[in-house]
Amino acid sequence: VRGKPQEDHLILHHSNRICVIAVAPSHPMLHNDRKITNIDFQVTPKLNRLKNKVSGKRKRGAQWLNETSPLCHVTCNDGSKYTIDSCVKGKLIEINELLIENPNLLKEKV
Amino acid sequence: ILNDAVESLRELTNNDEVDNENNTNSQIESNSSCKNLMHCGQETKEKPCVTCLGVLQDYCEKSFAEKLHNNIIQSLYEYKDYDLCVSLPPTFVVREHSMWTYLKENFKTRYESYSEHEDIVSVKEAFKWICGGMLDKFYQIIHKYKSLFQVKIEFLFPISESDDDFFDNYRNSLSPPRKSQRRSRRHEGSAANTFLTGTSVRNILQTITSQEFRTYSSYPPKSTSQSVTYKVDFNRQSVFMAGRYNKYDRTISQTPWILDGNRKGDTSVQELICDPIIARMKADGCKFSSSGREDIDVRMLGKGRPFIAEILNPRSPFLIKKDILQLQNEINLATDSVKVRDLQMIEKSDASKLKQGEENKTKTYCALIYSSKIINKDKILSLCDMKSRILEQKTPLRVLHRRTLAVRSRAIWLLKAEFIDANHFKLHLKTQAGTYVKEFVHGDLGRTKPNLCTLLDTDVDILELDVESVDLDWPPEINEDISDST
Repeated sequence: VRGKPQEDHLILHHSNRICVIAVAPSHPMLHNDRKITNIDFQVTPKLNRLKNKVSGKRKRGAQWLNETSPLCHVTCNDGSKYTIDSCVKGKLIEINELLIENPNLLKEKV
Repeated sequence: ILNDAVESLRELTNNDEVDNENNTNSQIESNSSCKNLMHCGQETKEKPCVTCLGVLQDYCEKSFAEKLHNNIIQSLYEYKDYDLCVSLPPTFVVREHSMWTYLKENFKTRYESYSEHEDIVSVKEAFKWICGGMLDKFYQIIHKYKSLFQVKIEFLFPISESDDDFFDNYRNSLSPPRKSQRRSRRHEGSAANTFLTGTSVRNILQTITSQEFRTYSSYPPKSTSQSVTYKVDFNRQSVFMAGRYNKYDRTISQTPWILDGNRKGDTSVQELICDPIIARMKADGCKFSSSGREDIDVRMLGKGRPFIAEILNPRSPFLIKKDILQLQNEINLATDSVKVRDLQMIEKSDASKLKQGEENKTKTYCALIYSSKIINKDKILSLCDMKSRILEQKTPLRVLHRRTLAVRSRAIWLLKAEFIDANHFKLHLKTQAGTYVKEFVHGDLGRTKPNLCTLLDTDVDILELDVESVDLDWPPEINEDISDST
């Protein structure tokens, strides 16, 4: 993704056009027994993914995502940093809030 | 009363015809001269009366009743009684008012004690009484107020000859606000149409005085060369049936499912139940509604799920108990996928019972669970011993495209396990209505908590799901003994 080698994302695509974005097993952040220390959803000074609010069936008020829109910044215990991008165009419906309390969930199998 | 009313209307008609022929403000009040002129009128082809436009002249004879009766027979409707619905073009409201205003002004002493709305019989009422009377007299067809079977007679009058100038003059006299001026240029056609309804015209007439009325429209009403034409149509209000259905097939959906022109599955529960009913009652269609739904791959067992079917415009709705049982058998023999029971006719007011207790009712399920790790029987049994649990379920991903994102609290009242082999077991559950059982088992990526994976600390997945019961005590059970007659 974004030309950086090996930083693969995984997209689970449902027939109802809902996608779940996850980290692919080949991604470096999952190597070498690293622990994920922090996930930051404040992707730009003005934009915080946690502030996303949707209402209704049509999910109005959702943040819009393009392929290169960042979803979050990940920091590991060895100092390495990565960004997870959206990879798909669409409305952001939900962030996995369990990741706030337990960032290491990112390493677990979906 | 009917005769008097018809008489008075005939007088109005005659006065008016006289006026038009003489083209003066007539002072003729004596009935005898009216009657003489009426005779003259009848010998030649009558001009359409300017008030009733021919409704009372051409359609109040036996020949019309005969035509109408033939139409009813050809429609193939079975009926025990009927209701007559007559619709007249809005120009009638203007013409009646115009004639009334004219008579009141010129024959003050005769009409001043009468009120327009309370004492004078309108053309529509007079026609209904006459027509209904004829149908009763010649064909013994019983009229019943608010009968489900409606005979609709619509009288039509070509717009070009109607009182267009009244509407035009009235509209021009109102100054349109600036904002709608642009709109009115584009939507001139539709603006004209919005005015032309009976009720709106009546409302307008109530607000303007007779002076103003005179500026908008001629009175007495203009004469026309054409008279009305008519259309007959029939309608029967919907009848309702209820029952319970079982679904034994994992490849059909409840309602027809069409995705981009292709349909999933060859048929559906709705079609299997409704098509025979529609055919038997010779109806136009059917609206199917049930107490909840199951997925395409889920069976419905036990006593079945309550449903109602609204049958639209049925030609032959009178079924006795024997006929209904026959219909139920027909549905059941036609397919193995769906079985129906307790099929019965219900009143429209009972239809709401289907949705009663949507939140409170319980449903029981049986799920076939697969576990990747060897099953720990003790763990599962301890799960079943515990009291009811509350789940917090976010809207499942599989329905999120058509449901609002929300968290729903649902209760699981009972759990019971049945072991099959090292990796499989059956779980019986009793849940609150609205619980997503599949998501309770696999957790929906952690969006339903607690879920079976977290409770057993292993990855489990659901292989099959059956609904064992829908705990609603309606519709009442039907005793299939045909010896009692209904």
